[in-house]
Amino acid sequence: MAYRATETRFWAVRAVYGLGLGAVVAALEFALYAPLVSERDGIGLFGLVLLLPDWCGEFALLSLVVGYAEYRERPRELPAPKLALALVLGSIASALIWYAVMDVVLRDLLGLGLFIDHVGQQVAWEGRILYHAWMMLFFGGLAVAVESSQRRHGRMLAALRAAQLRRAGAQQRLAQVSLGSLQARIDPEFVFRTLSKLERLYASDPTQADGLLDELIAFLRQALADLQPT
Amino acid sequence: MAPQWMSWSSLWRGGLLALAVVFVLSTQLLFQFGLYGAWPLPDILAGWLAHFLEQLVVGGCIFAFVAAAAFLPTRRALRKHALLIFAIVLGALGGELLLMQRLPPPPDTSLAVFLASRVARWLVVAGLAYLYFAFRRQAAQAAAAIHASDLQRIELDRRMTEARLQSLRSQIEPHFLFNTLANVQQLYRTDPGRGRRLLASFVAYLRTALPQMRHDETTLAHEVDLARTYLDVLQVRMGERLKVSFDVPQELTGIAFPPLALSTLTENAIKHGLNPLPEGGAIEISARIEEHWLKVGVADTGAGLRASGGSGAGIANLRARLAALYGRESGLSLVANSPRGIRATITVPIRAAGNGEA
Repeated sequence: MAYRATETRFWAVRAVYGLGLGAVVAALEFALYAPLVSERDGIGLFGLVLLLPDWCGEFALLSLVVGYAEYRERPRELPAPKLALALVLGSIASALIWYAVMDVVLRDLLGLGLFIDHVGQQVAWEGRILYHAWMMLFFGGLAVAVESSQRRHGRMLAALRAAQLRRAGAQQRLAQVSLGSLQARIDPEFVFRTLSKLERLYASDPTQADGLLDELIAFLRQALADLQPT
Repeated sequence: MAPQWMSWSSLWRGGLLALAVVFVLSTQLLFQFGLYGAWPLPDILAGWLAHFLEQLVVGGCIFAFVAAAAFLPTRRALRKHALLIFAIVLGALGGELLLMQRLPPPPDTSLAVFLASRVARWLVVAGLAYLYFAFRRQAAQAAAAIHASDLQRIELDRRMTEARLQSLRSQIEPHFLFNTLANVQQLYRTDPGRGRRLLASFVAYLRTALPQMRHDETTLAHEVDLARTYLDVLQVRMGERLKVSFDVPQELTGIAFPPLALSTLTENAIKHGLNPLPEGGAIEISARIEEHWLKVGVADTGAGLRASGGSGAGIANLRARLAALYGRESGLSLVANSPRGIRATITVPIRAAGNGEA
């Protein structure tokens, strides 16, 4: 279920990206042509509404094509050459398909000649496809570059957090080991010196030696008791 | 202190990016279909070049404004973004106004609408390019931080290994020390002759052990001496329960050997092998050469692999140390001895001891 939800989300995000970018480009196109056309044709802001389905549909198609390329590669990242190929092929295919939908089916067959003619000048179909493919390649390419660099940025931040966690872990382990070795250490030099002394003392004064050994054993018993919990 | 926002190297990269974007943007001229029938190719290319230079004027203006804005110190991210958008708009406006000196806008269009449409286009293009650049830059900064953090972690790990090794070296097994001393005291009270012998062998053991605790490498001879003095101590303590034999050819004793490796095996053989058995047993320490490897074995007739419950912390530590010192080829193998007990073998590459000798 969760998988299905993320999948739906993936395609929804793709479609929204495409529609959004298409709307921005439609607004830019409108701004570019409006001063030339609107006063003459008297369509005003309505021209923007006419441009929206044209560009939004195309960019949504492109976005879905690029999304499909990414989807096939999941969970790995789509390598740059494949991404570029998807962009080029997607742009050309979207321009062709949307020309067929808007101009051939809607305008010529169904007679809904609302769209491009009212805003721009009448253009040849090759011209339209070429121009639209370029626009998609340019703006789509920019958007894809931004998106992939943003993703890279996110991955890097996650990796940075992981690296900082690892470093903190290493720091903690080091502190623990230092503490542990401090606790577990019975200075061998000290033991060695004491025992050498004990050896000499047993030869000269066994009673005092016995006392010293008592003390040493008591000290070690204490040290051992301290060690037990670790 | 916020990370430095701009540097000369990122200015250079930003300039290259701006140039690339302007270049690609200028190719739009070549994608107008009617062009190729109506004009000869050289004219088209010349027109393209002129168009590219015109766009470059605006792009350069935007870049200059953005770069200047990026050098301004701002602390809040939001204010910085607003500043950059403002810079893009100003740059585009300035560039388009410059361009208008050469290419006036078409007649009967309002100047404001004309400029606004151009600036809006530049705002989208430059904004996207800027976003791309900013993400790339921050990702690069994060990558550098990751690298620095990993370097620190590796250094910490190295220090930890060192601390572990150090604690391993400077440590006398506390139970061994404690039990021996308790024995010494008891013997001095009941049988002073044996007590003296035990104390003497223990001091001899410590004398052999101490210098080695400071070094990474010692000779096989030292290690064998250490094992011998250690077993001497135990022989006084365990009496008839412990039989010891050595089979170490004289010519092998100069070979380099990791310190306390043999002692770990010997201690293990006593602790897990022979101590649990009331009748005790025998330990044999042997060394031989196979091809380019020195193999040093400790065989006991003790309780065996199953009773000792596999390998303890000492064995795991030893394995890690051998791997750290000599790589994967070296190692430690534990197999069942016949008729009973364990045969442990350390394999290390043959190298004459250098200055590691104490």
